[in-house]
Amino acid sequence: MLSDITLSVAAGEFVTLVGPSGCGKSTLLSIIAGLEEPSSGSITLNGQVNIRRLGQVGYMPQRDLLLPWRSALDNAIAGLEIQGVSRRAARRQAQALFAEFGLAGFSQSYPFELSGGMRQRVAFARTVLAGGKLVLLDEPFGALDALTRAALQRWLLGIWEQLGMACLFVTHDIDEALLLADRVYGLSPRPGQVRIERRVPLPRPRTPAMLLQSELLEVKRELAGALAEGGSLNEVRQGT
Amino acid sequence: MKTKEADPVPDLLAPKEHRQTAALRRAQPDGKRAAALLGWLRQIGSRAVPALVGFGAVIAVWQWYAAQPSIDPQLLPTPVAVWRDLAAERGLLWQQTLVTLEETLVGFGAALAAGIFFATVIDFSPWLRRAIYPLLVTSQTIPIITLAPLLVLWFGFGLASKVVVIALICFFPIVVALADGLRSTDPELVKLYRTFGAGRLRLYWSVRLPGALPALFSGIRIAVSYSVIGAIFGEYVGASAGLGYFIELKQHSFATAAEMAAILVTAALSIMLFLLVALIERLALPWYYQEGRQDSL
Repeated sequence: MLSDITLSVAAGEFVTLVGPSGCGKSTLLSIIAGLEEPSSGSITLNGQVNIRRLGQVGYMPQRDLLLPWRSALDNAIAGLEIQGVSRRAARRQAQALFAEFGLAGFSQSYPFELSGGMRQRVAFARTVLAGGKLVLLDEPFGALDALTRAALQRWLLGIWEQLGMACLFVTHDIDEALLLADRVYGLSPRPGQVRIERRVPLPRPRTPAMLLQSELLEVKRELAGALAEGGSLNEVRQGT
Repeated sequence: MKTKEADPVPDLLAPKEHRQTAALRRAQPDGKRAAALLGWLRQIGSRAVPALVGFGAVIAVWQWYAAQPSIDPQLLPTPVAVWRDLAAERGLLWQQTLVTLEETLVGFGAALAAGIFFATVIDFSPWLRRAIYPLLVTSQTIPIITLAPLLVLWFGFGLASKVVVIALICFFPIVVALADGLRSTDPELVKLYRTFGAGRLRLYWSVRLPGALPALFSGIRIAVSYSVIGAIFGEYVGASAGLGYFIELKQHSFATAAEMAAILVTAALSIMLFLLVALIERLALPWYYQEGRQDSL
């Protein structure tokens, strides 16, 4: 499924991984999160090679996966609780984060009472609280409508700038990858291989209008070309 | 808004009832929860009207037919006669009802415990699933009617034999429902909680079991409607008290109206227990119904 992947994320760095569907992006995240072990090769986390990664890395799936019987706040502390933090301390930590996440006043709400964007933010709070320094995001905005997605992208960048954790963000949307990242990796279709690695030549804070700059269009063309190699073009979703 | 940190009692240290009511209070802030429950009761009320009309029609036809001079009242008494016997025997019927109710509750409790136990065991190991599931299915192929006399011989005329009959009838729907509920846990959810470092026990307790509760309640509803029948059945075969015993006695003395009165009480008991389960489900799983699901009632 995957072969010859060499990939690094520095502390506090925002890296996106863009590739067509079925190239093994999700498998790669599962391996990094510790859900699976690679058949060969090694993974280094915080300078330690091949340590147990479960419970060390924040993982955010595409769906919010909030437990419907728990309030927003209690969903957010799920990871902390499992890591042994007392419920009271975890809630205090989550409450502080809720204010920053624009969720103040919704801590007692149940998932069905929240909008899709809010649910995603609660899920992200859960990931951040559990993950600490590295957060893996598996197409977290893939299921949202375009407007909500744009709002959450902006919001995610704000949070990232504030909290300073390292992010590895997987997407099949080249525009999204470029808008968010310091560096972009492009993966080829089956077997997934890193075809291209580019630094995004844009200042921060980012705006969607920056994606139209000419030096970026070049990077975009290169990425689209790399992703399409060996696969059919329509597998690559190019946002506009 | 009141935050949880402000809660004066740490959840786990509070007495159990307190914890439960606290959980209920949390589930629906302020009067919203009471309003939801009231709405539900009103819904039941509006649905009860057609049901009552239906029952009324059947009783009216029955009364008209049974009152015909050609009908032997010992074969088919009129509803009025049944009602008269119900009133006349109410003291005795009440005592028998208490006996049957006790058997039902103990038997159902045993079935619930056994059901949850087996479903959990089955869920934890595919090997045990393969070992136990055929046994459970086989236990359901035995006609209890043939086994009941033997159970009375083994466990006596008292409570124990009835509890065994009821438990045998009731545990299966509970096992099947809960095992299915546990199996249908979203694999993505399991993955997510594993990345938090959750082990199997933690996953079971925090994610899979709560998620399987709606399924468990479906099983419980089926089981509870069988449970009274099981009790009557056990009493019918061999007992010294209870509604089933009463029915058998009246049958032997051709007191058909009194027999039917006891059958009526049995039905009322079943319906009451079913409604009680529905109410408990409502209170225990507010999230399940507030997601816009309709009642099965």
